[in-house]
Amino acid sequence: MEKEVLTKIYLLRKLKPSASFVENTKESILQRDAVLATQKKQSVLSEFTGSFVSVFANSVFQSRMAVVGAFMFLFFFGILAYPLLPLNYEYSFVYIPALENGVEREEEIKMVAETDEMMVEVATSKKPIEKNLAELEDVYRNIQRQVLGSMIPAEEKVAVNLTDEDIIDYHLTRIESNDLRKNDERIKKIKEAKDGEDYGDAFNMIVDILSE
Amino acid sequence: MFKRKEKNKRKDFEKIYDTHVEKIFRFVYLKVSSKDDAEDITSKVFIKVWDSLSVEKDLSLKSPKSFLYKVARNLVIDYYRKNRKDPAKEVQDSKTEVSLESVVAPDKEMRADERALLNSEIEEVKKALSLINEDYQNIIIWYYLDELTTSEIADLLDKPESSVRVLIHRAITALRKSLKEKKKKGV
Repeated sequence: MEKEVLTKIYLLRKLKPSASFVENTKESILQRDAVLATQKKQSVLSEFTGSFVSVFANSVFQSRMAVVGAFMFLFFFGILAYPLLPLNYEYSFVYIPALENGVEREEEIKMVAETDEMMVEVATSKKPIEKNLAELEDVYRNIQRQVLGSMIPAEEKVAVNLTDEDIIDYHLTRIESNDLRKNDERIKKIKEAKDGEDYGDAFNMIVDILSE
Repeated sequence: MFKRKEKNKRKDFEKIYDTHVEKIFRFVYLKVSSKDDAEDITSKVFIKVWDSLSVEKDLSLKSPKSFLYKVARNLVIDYYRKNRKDPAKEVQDSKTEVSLESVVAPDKEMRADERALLNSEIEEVKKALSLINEDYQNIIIWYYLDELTTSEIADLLDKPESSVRVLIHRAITALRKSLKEKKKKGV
């Protein structure tokens, strides 16, 4: 009986893997290190590429954020700055004739400010008004200087860049040579203002005479 | 230095592979139902051999047989654990799944009817084997099919040689009984 069992057991020796499996498995395992090395390289490469893409995306995102941030800054700065910036110009154009007409400065400024809601807060407080008045006087003086300077013909310009004194001298000469104006008391005051380097007053008086 | 080491590794692997691949495949195939699963597990066993050759202490070189069977046995256990299958039932139900024609080595002189008879007999033994205790199965495969010595089996089972000799006797008795029962059921 044992022999019969052993015969049956030995039948199992006929169980064998296919030749193709034996060959292919052997080859694939022998190539394993090379395959793993390639996979490792690819993995490192993809990791690097991934991190590069990530860094690139981050930088793009950051630069986008920077652009957005810049826009936001400009937007808010614009909103905050708007009431201050145009207010000066409003004053300058309206204030100049008001000054000439002898209207009180602060009242005039408030009136101008009321034309725009955003300007009211700035205009009604004392400090900005005082500051704006000082600036306005400069602006006014510069305008007068430019207007009076532009009235001098090129052939009569004593210099390329005329000084305040040059401008005053030219107009004083013109006023004094005019029979109707040569006896104006303000000529003396203009001269005094010029000598005292109070060119603003001198310009004012010249403008007054010329605008009559 | 590196190339020389690499060359030796390939040489060692090829020696182990060529000597043992058929035995390991058979050992695994007798425990699982499908030829594909057997091939898959066999591949994994030899991948472990290759990986172990990369390690300084070459476990597979010291005792290749012992290493291979231990790995194969563990992988078969993992296979059943993962698939939550009963080994004996799996082999019993494997009739329709297993194509012995693709597993039995082709013999040109064998006629078709002889081949069919052989396949049927092999299937009968395989199923009878699957019904006995796992240690007995291993002992029959190792001692009678793969011709391991009692000392090698003792090492694999971590038992004294005397116990192995007793186990061999008990294993063959158990298989005989199993075959007899299968025959009775068949009749």
